[in-house]
Amino acid sequence: MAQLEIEHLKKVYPPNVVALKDISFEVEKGEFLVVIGLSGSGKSTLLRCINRLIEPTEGSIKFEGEEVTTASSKELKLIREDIAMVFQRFNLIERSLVLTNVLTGQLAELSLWRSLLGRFPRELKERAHAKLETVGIPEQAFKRADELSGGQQQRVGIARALMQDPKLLLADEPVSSLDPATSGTIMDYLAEINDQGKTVITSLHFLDLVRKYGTRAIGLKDGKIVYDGHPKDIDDEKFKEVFGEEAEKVHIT
Amino acid sequence: MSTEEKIKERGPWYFWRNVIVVALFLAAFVYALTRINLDLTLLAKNFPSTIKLWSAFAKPDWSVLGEGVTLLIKTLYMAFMATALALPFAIVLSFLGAKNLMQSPVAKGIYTFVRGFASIIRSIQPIIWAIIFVVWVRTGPFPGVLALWIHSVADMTKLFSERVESIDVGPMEAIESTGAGKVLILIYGVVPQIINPYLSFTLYRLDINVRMATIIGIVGGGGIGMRLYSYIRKWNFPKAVVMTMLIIIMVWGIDYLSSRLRERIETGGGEKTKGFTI
Amino acid sequence: MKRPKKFTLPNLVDDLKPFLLDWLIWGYIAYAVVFLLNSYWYTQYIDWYGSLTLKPWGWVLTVLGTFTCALMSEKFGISVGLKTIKKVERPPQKTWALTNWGITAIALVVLTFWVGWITTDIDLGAIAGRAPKTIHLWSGLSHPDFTHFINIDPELEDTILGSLIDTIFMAYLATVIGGILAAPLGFLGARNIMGGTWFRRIIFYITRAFFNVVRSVEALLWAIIFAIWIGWGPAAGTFALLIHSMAALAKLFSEQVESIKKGPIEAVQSTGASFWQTVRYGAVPQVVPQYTAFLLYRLDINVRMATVIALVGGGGIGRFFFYYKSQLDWNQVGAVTIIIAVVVWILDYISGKAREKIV
Ligand SMILES: Nc1ncnc2c1ncn2[C@@H]1O[C@H](COP(=O)(O)OP(=O)(O)OP(=O)(O)O)[C@@H](O)[C@H]1O
Ligand SMILES: [Mg+2]
Repeated sequence: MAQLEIEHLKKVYPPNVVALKDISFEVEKGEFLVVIGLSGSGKSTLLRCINRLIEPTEGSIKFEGEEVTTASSKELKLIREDIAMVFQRFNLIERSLVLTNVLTGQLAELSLWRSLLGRFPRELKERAHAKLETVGIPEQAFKRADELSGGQQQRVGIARALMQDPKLLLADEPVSSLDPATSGTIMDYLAEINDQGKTVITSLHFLDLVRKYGTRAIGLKDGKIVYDGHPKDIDDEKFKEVFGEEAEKVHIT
Repeated sequence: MSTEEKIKERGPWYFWRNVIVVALFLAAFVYALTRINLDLTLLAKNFPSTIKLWSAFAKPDWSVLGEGVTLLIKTLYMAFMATALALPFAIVLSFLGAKNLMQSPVAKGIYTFVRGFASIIRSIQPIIWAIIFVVWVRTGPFPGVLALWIHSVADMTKLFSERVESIDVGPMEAIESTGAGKVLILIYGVVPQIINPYLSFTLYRLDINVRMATIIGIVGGGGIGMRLYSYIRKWNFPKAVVMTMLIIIMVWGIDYLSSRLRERIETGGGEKTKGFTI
Repeated sequence: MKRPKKFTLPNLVDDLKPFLLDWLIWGYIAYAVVFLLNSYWYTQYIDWYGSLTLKPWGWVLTVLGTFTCALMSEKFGISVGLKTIKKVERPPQKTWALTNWGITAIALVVLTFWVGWITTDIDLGAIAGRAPKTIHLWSGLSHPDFTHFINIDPELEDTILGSLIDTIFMAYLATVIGGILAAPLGFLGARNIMGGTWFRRIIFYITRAFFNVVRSVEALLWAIIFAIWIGWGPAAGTFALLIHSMAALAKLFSEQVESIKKGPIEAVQSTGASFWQTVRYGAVPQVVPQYTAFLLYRLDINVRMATVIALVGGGGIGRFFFYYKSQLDWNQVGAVTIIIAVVVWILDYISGKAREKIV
């Protein structure tokens, strides 16, 4: 049994925008799967369907054998605990401390009143500091999140995801708002996480990043899978298929 | 610093500090309640004394409508005049009261003087200024305009100066590097950066002045408030109610217009960014 | 995906808007011109209050005239309404002041200023001419008499210090209670939360209308009502400040709620957090700091208001001011004025610094 099994997934935004049509694929534990495709091809929609930030219209998503699409809100919470997400625009709680942001990754384990009062147990705080150390910004813990640079904010986003100790990490264009050098560092962190046996599914725009980090690539076009294979095997032909004739000369590197 | 130490630093002490702050606020609250004797039951118990007032809302005396509209227009003109007359003074004073433009020893003296004076004038409510000006130039709209004017000058000077203090020096340096003099730097380096905020603050102040103009009549500053207050003193609520309704319509309308215009100025005609919806 | 323009009522209203604006502008110009003509040449159409009393035929003529002008301005392509509402591009080579828009704006401002000058009886001569009348006022201010600062004034049965503390606590109570009551109202008045069904929307409009009406009535007028209701004293003043603050804060709060961003909420949700945890960590931090700043600002405004609310029976330090003023005791008036100015100034400073830190 694969870790994640997606069958005949379909998403229609009201009134009638079909973002995903009949998507089926499986992801094994420990894969580094990259989703590529033009803007509007449905990458974000696909990733967000997996943890049901977006409600799929049809089809089934099984995570470790459990059906996601029909899970009750309680079951969904449990599933989400094991799936972390990193966002393109970081989505930090900007006016809160960096440490608090990281700690939100652990909310699910906390009793309600403790979390409402903001009384995090000591070992959680220590773990949060440790995660910040992992992503190389231990000294920023008590700054407000909006005081940080873009790259630093994305590291906080990753620390927050790590705090969850997830089995699967979803990263929707984690480096699109960052400069190339910072992108590299962030991708290195994702690779490190992947090396620890966690599955990573990410969408990327730069082909060389895809080739460098991915163990598998899925090409989306107009909500359909047009490529599924090893990133190294994407030649000019395949590239044209995914990105269309016009993109040929631009050659996204 | 190790992680251990850091947690300690923000640990229990941080929590207890918050507890103490909250406790102080609560204590002040309870003390204030008893000191002011804020008694909600009194509102219920004394409700009969306001019946005459509320019943007037049911049958307002529309015979004063014409008079009310005339006074309303006059009140608007008062607010407009106060704002328009305050604007040139505030613009000039705002440069003199901006720390970053006033660097030499003499200039620093001027800066301190301008800002200090503006703070003092701002601290005194327009209605108190109106009392002073009623003594000075007799009852009527004129002292009302003067009262709003002096308060507006002080308030706008403060807002404007703070704006000037936060301008970007880049454009100024660029102009300066071409060998331009002080006036040119001001016109090409400073003005483009402040013109929209100034417009927006002026509209905001116009809004405030309209509100203030409705009450400044209580002390003889003219406008619709003066008539409203005299009706209330004569216990003539049906007429007072008409005046109040007119005030509500005008203030609401100006508030709406002013905020729409300000939005447009601040976003440069673009759409307001939308938040999320449930 | 352009659909052909259908003839519907909203469309008609949209098309009419520029014309109505043009008509309004021309109407206002006519008003101002007639007003000025009258006040300089004939006074027969202006009554004692300075308002226009045109004959019926005059009204008909004005309405028809302005209607024609508005029609013409669209024909000749100088319609300001079209430019403002439909945002027709204006030629870029002209300076702003020379466009139709600029000319109209300038003309309107000049006319308004002119009419305003006359209608508000501005008389610069009086400032100089009657300056001697204010000498006792200035001398009082410069020789303040602080005797009753800590000594009880037998007439008012209080010290200035005591009423000063009253003033601050009045503002404090009004801000805190008003701020707490404003939060639920603010939610009901937030478009994004109340936009779903028609039932919610009705509640939304009622809430909005409620706090806009309450906000439009100045605290001082509310104080008159509460003074009638529960009698003179600090409690009446506090209720007045409270209800006005509540409405004003509810508006600000609803705007804050409307600008909540979805991203952080999704991020918290995606960790498996429960609904209340999502509210606590995703939504509340987006609202609370700004709202605290509003509260501080409101406290500041309320202290200012509380210093004068005694004018209509609302209690606080204003009692001393208005009493001494009625006794023409300028030295004590001076003292009270100075105390008010200093205290308001200090609070303004503190609240400003605190706000800077929060936001
Ligand atoms: N909330 C929404 N409502 C309606 N349509 C949507 C919504 N979100 C996305 N879509 C549509 O669904 C399609 C897929 O969008 P999606 O955001 O998944 O693309 P993407 O591949 O992530 O693009 P990008 O690279 O620009 O992020 C697009 O046609 C888009 O217009
Ligand atoms: Mg996307």
